[in-house]
Amino acid sequence: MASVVLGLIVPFCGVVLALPVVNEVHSDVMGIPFTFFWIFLWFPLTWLCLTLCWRMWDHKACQDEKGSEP
Amino acid sequence: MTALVFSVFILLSLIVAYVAKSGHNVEKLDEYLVAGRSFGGFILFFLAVGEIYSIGTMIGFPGGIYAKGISYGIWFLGYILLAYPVGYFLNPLIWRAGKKYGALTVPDLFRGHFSSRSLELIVAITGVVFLIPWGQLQFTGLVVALNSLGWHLPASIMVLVAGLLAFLYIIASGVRAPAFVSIIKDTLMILAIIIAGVAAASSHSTARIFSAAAQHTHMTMTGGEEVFAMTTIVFQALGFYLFPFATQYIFTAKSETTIKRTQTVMPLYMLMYPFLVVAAYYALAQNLHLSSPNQAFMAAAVALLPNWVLGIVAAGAALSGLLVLAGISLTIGSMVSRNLTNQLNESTQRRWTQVVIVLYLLISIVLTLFTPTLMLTLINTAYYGVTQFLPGVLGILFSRRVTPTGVGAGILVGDVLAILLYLTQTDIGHINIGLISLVVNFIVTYGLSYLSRSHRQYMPIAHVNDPA
Repeated sequence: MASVVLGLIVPFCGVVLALPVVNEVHSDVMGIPFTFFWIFLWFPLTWLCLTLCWRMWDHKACQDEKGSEP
Repeated sequence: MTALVFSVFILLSLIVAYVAKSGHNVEKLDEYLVAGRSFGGFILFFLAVGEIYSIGTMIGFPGGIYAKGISYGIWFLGYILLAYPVGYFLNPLIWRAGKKYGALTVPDLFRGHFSSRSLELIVAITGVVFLIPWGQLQFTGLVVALNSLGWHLPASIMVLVAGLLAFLYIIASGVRAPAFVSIIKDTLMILAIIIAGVAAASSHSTARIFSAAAQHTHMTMTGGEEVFAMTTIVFQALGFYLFPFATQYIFTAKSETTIKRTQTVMPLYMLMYPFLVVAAYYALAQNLHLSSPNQAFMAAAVALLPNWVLGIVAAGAALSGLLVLAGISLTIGSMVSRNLTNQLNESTQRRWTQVVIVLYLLISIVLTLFTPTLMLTLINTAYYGVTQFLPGVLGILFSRRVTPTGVGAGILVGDVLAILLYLTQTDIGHINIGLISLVVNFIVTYGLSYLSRSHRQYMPIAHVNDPA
């Protein structure tokens, strides 16, 4: 369940729910409109969320079932 | 020079497609369609990105920004990104279901779980129908890419050549062909996108590109655009892996662990998009005169790059379209032979499979030539139908109560409603019409399942331990 919160709910909040707020920011970062910058930022952040899910919880569950997989 | 470089890469990819089968008996159907469920992380990753980043990315995405502004850029990036977390949690279960039922196609899953022939037919037919806009998407992009080669051929000839090439890839090696050709295609595509992005950014600074573009387009979304972007991101992220070809690629994996681990790195692949965004805004900033917004990326490339580099760009774009067409044809072929004509004898089956694939390609070609459409709109259209499989798939994975009657009725109601809303151009508070149809679909599926429940219970996949 903790895995679903970090791996699914956090990215959905960051990318979808935050949009109305992010869209109100009218400045830019290195020339890039802020809304684009925000989404770009979530590429590595989503990777981080999923990687943490895997390292902290899910690899155990998968190994319990499979045994052999590295 | 452009055409020469282009031809060399296309030829190389065809050779790889034919070499890909060496050592494997592709006459066996499960080998041909899901590579005997043997793919490890590396090749699974390439097969997945090969099919995900179709020509809709390189040609369609900049065109969408050019025509509709920032909101189209945002929903496009958002839904692909969020599809990965969704897939991280659902795909291992879908793989498990595929293994349990010996499924090679999406309708196989429904037949295996619900033992219902009519539900299998509904899923197979709607699957084929809503792949038509996806085919049109590829052909539209291919015409744009081939146009940049300066051959001055009529569009009708170019789409026919493209259709023929796609056919050559699949008769080569089944699913191994797109998997291995993906390696060439993705190398070329990323190279092309980075070259174009860097060339744009170094001709003018990014700040100047965006400020010049701001005179032609808004840099923030209006309220309505924001609602459309948000609802489209959610709706399409949910439907991403329900495309019949995407689900079949899940089946090629060798284990649930492979799928989960591959899924974690997928978001990093999207780091190429900033380059594409810069190229798209370059086309806007330069006020390039385009006969169709779909040409935005290639027009920017033509303006920025020397001829031989343009050949690489065109080859990367064309291969991404061709690969996806090959993948779709393979998927449609498998649904026709396994789910539509499986009660006929083998030679009749084979004939029908070929007839349906050719018919599919022809319909997509005709629509491409006679109803020119913004490529990102074609993406929306395909999702309207495909995401309607969601309540059924969730039923297979998690529910004892969902019945085949509920799922079948839900899909039909969802699809018909989406088509009606689309054709009548109905606007309900700018909410994505597919999402509205999906909500109705959920109500019908679960409502009817409740009313029509029988003594029979279906064992949800999430409660079955990994059978491996």
